[in-house]
Amino acid sequence: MRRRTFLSNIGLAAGGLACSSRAAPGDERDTTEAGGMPAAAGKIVEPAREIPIVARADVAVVGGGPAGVAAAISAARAGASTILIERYNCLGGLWTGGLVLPLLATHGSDRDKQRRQVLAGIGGEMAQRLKALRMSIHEVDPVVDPEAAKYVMEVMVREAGVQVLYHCWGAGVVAEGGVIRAVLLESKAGRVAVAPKVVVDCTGDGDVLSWAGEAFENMRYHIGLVHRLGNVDRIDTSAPGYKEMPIGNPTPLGSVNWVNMHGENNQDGLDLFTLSRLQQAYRLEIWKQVERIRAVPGHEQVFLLETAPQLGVRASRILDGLYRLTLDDSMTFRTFDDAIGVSGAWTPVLHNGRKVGERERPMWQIPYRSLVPRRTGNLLVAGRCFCYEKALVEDARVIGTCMVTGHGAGAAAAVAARTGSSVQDADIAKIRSTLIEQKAFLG
Amino acid sequence: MSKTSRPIRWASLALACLLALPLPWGVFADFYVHLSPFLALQSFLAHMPALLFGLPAAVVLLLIIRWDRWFCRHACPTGALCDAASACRRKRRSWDAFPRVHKALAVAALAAAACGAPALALLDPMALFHGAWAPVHQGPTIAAALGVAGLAAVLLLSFLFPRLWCARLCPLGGLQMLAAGVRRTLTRAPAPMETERAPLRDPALGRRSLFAAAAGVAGGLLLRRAAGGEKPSPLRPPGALPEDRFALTCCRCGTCARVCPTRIVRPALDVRDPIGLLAPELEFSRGYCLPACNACSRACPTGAIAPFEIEAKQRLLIGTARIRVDGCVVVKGRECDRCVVSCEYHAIRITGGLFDPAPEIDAARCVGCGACAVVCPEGVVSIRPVGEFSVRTRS
Repeated sequence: MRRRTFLSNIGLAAGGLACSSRAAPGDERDTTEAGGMPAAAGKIVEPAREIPIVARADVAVVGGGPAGVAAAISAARAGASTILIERYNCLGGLWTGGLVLPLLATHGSDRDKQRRQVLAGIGGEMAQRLKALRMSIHEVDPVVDPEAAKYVMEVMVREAGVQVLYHCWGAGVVAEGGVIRAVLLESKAGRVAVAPKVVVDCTGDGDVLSWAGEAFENMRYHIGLVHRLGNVDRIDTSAPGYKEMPIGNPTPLGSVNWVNMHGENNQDGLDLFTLSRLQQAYRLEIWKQVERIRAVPGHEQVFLLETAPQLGVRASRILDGLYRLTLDDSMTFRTFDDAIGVSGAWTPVLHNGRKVGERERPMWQIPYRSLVPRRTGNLLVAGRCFCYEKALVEDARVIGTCMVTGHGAGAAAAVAARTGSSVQDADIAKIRSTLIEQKAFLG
Repeated sequence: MSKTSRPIRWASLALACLLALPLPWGVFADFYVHLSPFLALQSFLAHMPALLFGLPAAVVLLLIIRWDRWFCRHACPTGALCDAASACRRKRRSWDAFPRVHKALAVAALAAAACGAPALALLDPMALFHGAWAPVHQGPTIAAALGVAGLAAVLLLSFLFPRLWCARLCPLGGLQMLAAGVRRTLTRAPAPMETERAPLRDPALGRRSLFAAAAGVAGGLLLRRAAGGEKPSPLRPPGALPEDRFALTCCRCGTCARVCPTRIVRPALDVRDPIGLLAPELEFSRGYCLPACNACSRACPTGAIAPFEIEAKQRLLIGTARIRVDGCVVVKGRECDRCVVSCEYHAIRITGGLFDPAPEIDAARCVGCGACAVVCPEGVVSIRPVGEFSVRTRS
């Protein structure tokens, strides 16, 4: 969506007109016209005010999910002073706070049809450290323990010298002449600003790119809420009246399962009323579901360990960047001169009329240009909001790919901050050599 | 046969073989099957006015009216092969007394076609020729072997009784004799000196032809009766005629299987359905029927797969998807939406409660293209025939 249409559509949404979608009702890969804009009940003008700049840095990463953590560590290891901004009290985003525990897309097939691990670099290191802690299960697409993942990421950002700002939420940017001068944060101390040379948008929802006026589409998708069950190892299958119940999937903790939720289809992950309604409904439903499970003979000891602190928004804003990566690119070993990483796949797809199973899916290169917005000179986008076509969403939005794009964006941000060039004119060779030094796999 | 036409026919055989190979020939892949006026006339009579007479066959029809046995002498790849088989034996067995069955066959075929059962299309030399390429395209299967059997029988016959097939049996040859008869009737030209040993006795429409036509009508009606009746319809290509007419119309040339880009068309091999033997059916193990494709319908020389535009595809039913939900990944609480996103007809949604979600198929949208069945990681989606007796279009 171009900015102009975006602005004109705000008027539509404010008028209470539902924007009709052209796609058929069954299609949940729909785009809302005015994503995130609730029907206004009126307007008020916020007075202009001076905001204190609390920190300056080479690189500011907004969002401490798998992409943001990889980006911050990469930038810091490349010698950039780095700030990582996180709204909750832990790193890992949906991986930990969302309890989406599988680290998907770690593997892909090479040209010789051999399936091999593509997750390397910083993401690969995280996976390795979790394995060393015996806090991950499965070799391919491992499922991890969320507390262990939080711990590992905390250790790694500290080792890299990243300045982490917890408990503050990106609230806007101040941009001049196509350059972001400051990122505004909402905190307990009120509104504050950080002034970086380069900003990396790892918000998942593409908040920063939308503040910067970059074009995007808002993808409506299904939104769920994950929970974990305790004492699943104490289920007595020999109890009279025992019946198998849906108790989710194993985690590295033998007594704990994680339970995924498909959730309601075709939801706008940017709409605060939608998010609140789903949050409420899901919490009530999860409690009832666990009660239903406990009522079945043999399941008396099972209990609700926790619901995820973060709602499971699978996709929302997707950048309209310099290059839109396609499903076809990912299926044909398309190579890019500016590749900053390689990801894998975990879903079967149809390609040219034939099935390509997840085990046969090729590894796919991600070009630097798909992380680069069209206009802003010091913004990079990583995580599930980078630029790809919707058909690729299942493999683009998952943890493994987020780590890969995050790592690429972090190294690129450090290079851009050091050389002072715009991200559009960045020194690709330098970025790639930095990534190779940091053991990233570039295909 | 004249000396000049012989090399032309060898060249024609070479071209036909080349076009029959699994290479990207595009619209030329089915060129030879579309040349046969025998197939085209039968389909025209059977399905008039739904089908227009194809241009290549129309041109050939004019040529065979103008010049005696023009197709045999210049184009027929099966004839060239029969010649080769005939030449393998020096000692010639005499079959001069053998009746001229071919003209009667042609008349009977056209009469049966007019009754809606163009089943003698099976004997068309183009259909036999192309059917024999099945092993090249499908690998060594029983169905492919049966596909070869037709041409093999004709060649064996030619070996045992040199040129008997071409001169006395081939219905396309018979049609050409009829065509020549038509010309002579129109121009009142005298019959030329016969090149073969028996003099040309019978006129274009004689008593024998009348008997043949009556036999054709009776046979056609009997076949229609046999093909009708309640039975489950296999999964046929989109645009296929209703089952009672489809199996009788298809000439088993295998061109649809050859041109299918996703290779989901295969010859049926169900002993419970002898009339449908070797007729094309769909199988969705690795590929599905592409929404933007009508290759089989364009290639079909008989109209058994009726020609359709791509826009019509959402109204052409192959079958309906059915999901065995107890094996579904989503039902088991894992992350999957492959069937939903693979369905280009927007016929699948994940519905149900938060903890018992399940994919649901909208039968009013599903055409049975098989995309969901192919992509399903657990293989729990199957495509079922539409109904007892297929209604293959949706209004």
